[in-house]
Amino acid sequence: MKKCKNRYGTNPFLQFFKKLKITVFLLFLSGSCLLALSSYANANEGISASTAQQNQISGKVTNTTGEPMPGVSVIIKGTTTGTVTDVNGNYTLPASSSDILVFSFIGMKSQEIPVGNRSSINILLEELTIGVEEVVVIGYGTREKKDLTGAVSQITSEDITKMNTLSPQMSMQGRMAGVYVSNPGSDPMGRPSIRIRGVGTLGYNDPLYVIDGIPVTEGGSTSSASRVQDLRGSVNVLNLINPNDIESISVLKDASATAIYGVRASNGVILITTKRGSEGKARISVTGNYGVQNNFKRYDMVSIQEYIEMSEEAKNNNPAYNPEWHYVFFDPSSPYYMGNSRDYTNDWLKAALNENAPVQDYNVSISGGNQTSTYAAGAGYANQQNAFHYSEYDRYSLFFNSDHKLTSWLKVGESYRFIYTKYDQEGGAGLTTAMSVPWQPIYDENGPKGFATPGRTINNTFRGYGYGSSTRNNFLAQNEYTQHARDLIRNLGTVYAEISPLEGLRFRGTVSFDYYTNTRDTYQEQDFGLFEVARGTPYTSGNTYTRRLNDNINIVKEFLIGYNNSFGSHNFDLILNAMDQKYQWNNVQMGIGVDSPITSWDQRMIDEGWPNENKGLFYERSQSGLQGYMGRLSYNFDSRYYLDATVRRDGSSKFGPGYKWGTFPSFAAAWRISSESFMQDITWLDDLKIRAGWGKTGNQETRDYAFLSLVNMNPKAAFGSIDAAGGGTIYPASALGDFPIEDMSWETVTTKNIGFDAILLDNKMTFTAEYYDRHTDGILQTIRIPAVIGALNQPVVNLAEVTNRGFEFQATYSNKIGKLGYQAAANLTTVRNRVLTLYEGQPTTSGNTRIEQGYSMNYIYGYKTAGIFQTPDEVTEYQSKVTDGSYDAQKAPGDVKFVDLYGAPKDTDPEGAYKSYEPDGKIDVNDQTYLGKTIPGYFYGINLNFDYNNWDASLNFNGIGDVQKINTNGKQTISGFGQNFLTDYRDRWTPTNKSTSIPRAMQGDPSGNNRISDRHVENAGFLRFQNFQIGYNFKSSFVSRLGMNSLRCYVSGSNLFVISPYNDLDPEDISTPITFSVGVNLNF
Amino acid sequence: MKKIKLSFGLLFIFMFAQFACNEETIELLPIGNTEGTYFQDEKHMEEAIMGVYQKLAFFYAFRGGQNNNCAPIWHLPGDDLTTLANFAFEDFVGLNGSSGQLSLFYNFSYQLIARANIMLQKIKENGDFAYEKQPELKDYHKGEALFLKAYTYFMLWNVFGTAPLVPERITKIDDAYPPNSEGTQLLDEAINHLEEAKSLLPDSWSAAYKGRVTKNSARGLRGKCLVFRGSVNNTAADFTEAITEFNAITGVSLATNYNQNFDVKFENNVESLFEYQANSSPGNVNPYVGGAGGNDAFSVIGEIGHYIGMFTQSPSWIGNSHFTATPSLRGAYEDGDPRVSYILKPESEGLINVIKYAKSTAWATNGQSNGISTNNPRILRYADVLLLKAEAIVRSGGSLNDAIELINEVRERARNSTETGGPAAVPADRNVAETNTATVLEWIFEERRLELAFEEGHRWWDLRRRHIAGEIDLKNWNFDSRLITFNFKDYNVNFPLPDNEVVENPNMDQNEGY
Repeated sequence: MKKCKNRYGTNPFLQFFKKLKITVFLLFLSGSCLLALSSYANANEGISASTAQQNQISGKVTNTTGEPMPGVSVIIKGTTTGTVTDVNGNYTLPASSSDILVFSFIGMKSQEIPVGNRSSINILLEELTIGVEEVVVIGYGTREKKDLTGAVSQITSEDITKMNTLSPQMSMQGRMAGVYVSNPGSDPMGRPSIRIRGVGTLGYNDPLYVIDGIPVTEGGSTSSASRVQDLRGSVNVLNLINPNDIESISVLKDASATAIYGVRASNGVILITTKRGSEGKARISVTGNYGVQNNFKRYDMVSIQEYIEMSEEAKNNNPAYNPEWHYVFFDPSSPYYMGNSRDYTNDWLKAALNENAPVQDYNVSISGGNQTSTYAAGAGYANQQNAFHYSEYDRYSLFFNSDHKLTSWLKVGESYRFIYTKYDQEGGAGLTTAMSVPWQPIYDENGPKGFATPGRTINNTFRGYGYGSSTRNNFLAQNEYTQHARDLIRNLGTVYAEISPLEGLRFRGTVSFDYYTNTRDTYQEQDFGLFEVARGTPYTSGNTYTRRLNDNINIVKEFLIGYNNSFGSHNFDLILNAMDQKYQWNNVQMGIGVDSPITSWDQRMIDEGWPNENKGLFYERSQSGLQGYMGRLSYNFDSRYYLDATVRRDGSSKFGPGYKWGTFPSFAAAWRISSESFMQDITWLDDLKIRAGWGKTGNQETRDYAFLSLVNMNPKAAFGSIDAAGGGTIYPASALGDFPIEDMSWETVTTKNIGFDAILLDNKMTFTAEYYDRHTDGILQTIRIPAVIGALNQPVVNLAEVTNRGFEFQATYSNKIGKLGYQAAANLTTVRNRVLTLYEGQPTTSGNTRIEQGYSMNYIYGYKTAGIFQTPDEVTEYQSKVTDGSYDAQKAPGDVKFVDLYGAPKDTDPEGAYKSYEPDGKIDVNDQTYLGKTIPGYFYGINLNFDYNNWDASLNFNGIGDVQKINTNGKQTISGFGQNFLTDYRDRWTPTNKSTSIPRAMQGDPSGNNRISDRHVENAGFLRFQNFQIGYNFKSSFVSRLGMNSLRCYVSGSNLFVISPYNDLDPEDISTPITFSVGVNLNF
Repeated sequence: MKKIKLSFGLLFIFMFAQFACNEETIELLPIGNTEGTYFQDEKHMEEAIMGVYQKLAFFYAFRGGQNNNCAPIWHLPGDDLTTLANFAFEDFVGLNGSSGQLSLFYNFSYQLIARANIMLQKIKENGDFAYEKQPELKDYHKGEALFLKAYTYFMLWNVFGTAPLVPERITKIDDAYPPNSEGTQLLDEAINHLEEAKSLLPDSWSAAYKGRVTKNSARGLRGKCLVFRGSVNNTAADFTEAITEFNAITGVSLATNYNQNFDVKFENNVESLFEYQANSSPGNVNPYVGGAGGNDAFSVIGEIGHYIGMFTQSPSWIGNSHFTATPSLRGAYEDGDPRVSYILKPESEGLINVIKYAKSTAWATNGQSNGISTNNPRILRYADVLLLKAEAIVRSGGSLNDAIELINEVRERARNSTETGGPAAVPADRNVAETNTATVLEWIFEERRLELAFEEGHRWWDLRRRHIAGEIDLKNWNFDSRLITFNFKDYNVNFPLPDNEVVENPNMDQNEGY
């Protein structure tokens, strides 16, 4: 009927071997690819030839601990002639006395040695220490870390691959000051939210991602409309980048750094740079990783007898309650009484979990090149199953790129990346399934396919909720009747040509494309409905099938002029850039919704001949465009005084005529104070640079064409029904739904930044501290306009203002104790978020979060309470002063005492007041107030690295603090007859158990105890042990016997524990699994 | 070499300079129509008028939860239906300006009015050329827009009493702060609009468009508005005018069987003056998407259905928030009244007992478990008109005999509506010799209660206008509510306006008492 998913009771090691086959296949593939490429590289080697008189030069390369280093590339500078050291670190090559030898190895400082008259040259290679030599990607170029003037953080491939994650965003977690990455739970497609320096706007807060110069644009990502979000689908499009292919991830945080991305940069910019080839012999790298994920956390639930007793108690406490039809399950005198049933909770939990869910990742890549051409290519396969029933993700990725210096003045190159991901997702239940009704079975020998249906006939009436109001869908059975699959295919590439007619001057043209398609197939059989509680019967429409296809087409063209030169100690770098981006998002959906003859997933199709009225389809297109002109002038004097100035002018299709173009300037300056003579005597200080910046950026992300009045063609109306059941014709209809605001434009973020970078203690410690102030003005706020206008869409205006300010600290210390090397890095960011202005001062409340002037955005809004009434007198006394609307009738001991704080605005209040800030003797919505904030006041990360002989270890921790969250678990007035109860409820208020914070049980909560109040607000701060990795580098002699250059094996784990006062299974997402994995990295 | 370098370089620069200066990239126009390119011909105008009708669907949509559905506003306040759930419309205690349901009702009403106003504006501006091929449509469309706007005003008066008037499309935010309407202004406007509409609308529509409003619809609704206004203002002229209006209705009669008014097979029948045309969407019927916000983005799915799950407890998770007929209503029917068997289950079958619209229905595709029917709600039917006419005759001092004859016409049809076809003994004719005006008036309202039970708004809106007129006192009325919190106060005849709307609008006040 449907494909076997092979997911129960499967031994993970069997799976591992199955995947091993794929790895071998990949290896084979890449091997042949490699052969082709290396022959290509060799063919080019003849281009340059050394003709001077040659001697044999030999020598040995060792590292600082004295061990020989194999695999070090030794090249005669300016040529392609070279060799690689053998297992004992020895090399021999012919060279003339005028040559210079270049010794290089990844992770080591390269050395250049003139040959002179020597015939033997021994070299000691030092490891790259942290700090100044590091090159940082800054957008439209790179810069040495010591020369930075803006706030930029970067992590490199080593850090990225150590995090063992299939999604590149997660590798940033806890590693960079100012960058907060949430845990998205166990779904492989879970999308973490990333916030750089707080939350700057009411709308779209995600940073701009730029992959190899291509700004990533995802259709629908900026809309909050539920329909658009449904079209976009719940996929993480950044999963379409293989983290193993990434060379570095660089985060631009302040406007002096981001202003070059203009109107898209206000939430920060994340630059992802992928690996390219470098000069030298072909290097092959193979990585493999296999892990298992498990979630061991469980809720403690009461027994069936207690469930019934507590329900009974709730019923007895509410005299107004009339038992519903499902009372028979709780009534011992009824034939339907369930009190003696088995407790099936563990069956459901077992079904909801996917134990030892595998996560695995295999990659092979090759890179190399000669003086004229360099190349890199690779392939990868990754697979992850959700630790919960059920989703599975497969990724096949492939890339190649090359750079060619065709002549001394012309360089061309390209990169191409192909990714195919498959994502299967079926409904599940999660850990909260334990809270459903305990006596509902999941399996039934006599049921369809061996599953129990939730629907039953009770007292001659069929009930979909056949076990009570908390009956759940039988998701496991439903999976037999449905299938959802997503296929994503991405093609991402760039070609460029660069000419440099003069020294220091270059013209570079780039054309980039990013085309991805997201296909969703949904198939459902009519018997699916049997297991759906809201139905309980088969769908009358028969089997249905829908296919949806989203296209994202993003074409970027850029032209850049660069000039840099030095006059004595004056160094200039000038960049002028013009950019044009065209973006399209197309959605097609087609489906057969009624009476399809399809009998299985494999037979899915939509036939032309099937009746049209049974088919549905739509095709929608949206497009947008952006043009930008950018200039950046960087100047420094003697690496001591720095000045950067940037200006970008952007035009956007999102805004109306006259409001399309905006200019975004920025300035930054830095002073290397440690180079001044008066600082020379401070011996413990190696380097100190003070920097400051100011700049403006924009945020254009809003609804397209909000400045126009569009005709909405969604409505339709039926007429012509006469004397026939359900007759009539459906006619197309239209409506104007907009209230257009023509002068709408982008949001502007002004950032001020001041800080310093220091290197201390003999280059052992680096320390960065800065203060930032981000002020967002003209926030595109969807405003509430009077309903009498009758608009369907609320208009968008530039009105609100928000600030985020705080400090960022980042420190790293590294040293050695004997053979033990260690490095400790820590970062801390504080955020103070304030909403300054809103349209007409209007606060907006959504559920229990509120946006209001003078408060942190989306703060928790609810009632204040003053404990629980203990005696009837307390209740009488309270009710003599305060009325509580319809919640008054049954107020009694055991109920929550709400505090009367405010009232509705009175005539004496200022015009436009939303509340009267005085008690009014009434408990109503006006009494709700500030209870906590949802934006963390600070977040931090701690990273520790150790190495000892061949061993290395790294540990990462991260956390947040000064943040609150609503938790209702174990705090409610329980109604009974619904969900099962947490054991916490044993401590509820009863006449004999008065000392408690849990109100009395009472059916239907007629006293309103469950209104969200300060009782529910908890500290949601946490410290999480996010990741560890312990690795072993095999001795080079052993490795070389296997024909390899290096071999490293490791074990790693993630999300090992979380410490939090928040009283739930996890303060972020309770599905977050614990993962253990083993892996191997080989280099040839 | 140098030449090559130069020419190559120039070519390169030229190539890339090409695109950078071309502003086409950002001068995009949306795909699909904008207001400026629309309303150009009959096709556009037809689509636009259909769009006005379509908004009616929102008053009947489930919207994913019993608190997102408008039905409680007109079903629960009266004495016909009650519920176990804590609906403010049932006990009146929790009624306040933050009610989500009232906000939805208010929003949908003004969205409908906005569509009608845009239609009227475009007919005025583009009418000269947009109707070249079918000039007759111009008047029809105008009549339809006026009718639908008038009907919305009628609803607004009955729900809020003081909701503002919106005479024209609002295009400037400064015009978006109208004052409350006063007294019966909403009815006055409805009556004026209907006066114009009845002269513009056609006598009938072709079979393919059956269900669009006609002259009879306008006359019937206008008469109803006049009776409502007359009964609260005590103005005799309104009643005589209403009688004239009702007398002008032609070609309409009582259906042979009472149940034909709730039977999906007899939609738009001889008795019908105005119905909401419920239907089933092709493709997927999903009563959940679209949320509670009233966004039309999802209208392709579900919203042209008619939610009656409040009677059938569907989806089943709505639990005890279904609506139940009160014992007082049940007791009001004489034993053996054939009407009962079409609208009520026997008492022994528990609290889910209202089967009107559900008994002879056709569910939307996959709609049954969610209570989504394609059965048209009959908004205005001839039995209603006959009883309103009887009321107008009594109140204007006309012949009681004539009025009683009208009541008996309705009762006769009821007697003849047995499931077996033969006439039943009850309800017997009222005594035509009765001379006490008050008695006849009570008979009329009793008959309205029985004949129109569970049809939207009828019972509560009758009780409400009589309380406002001082004819009855609802404070002492038996509402037969199952909620122990029940507490009716005088000011509850007008429901609170949405708080947001009142707070933001300096010219508008909240209704008294809230």
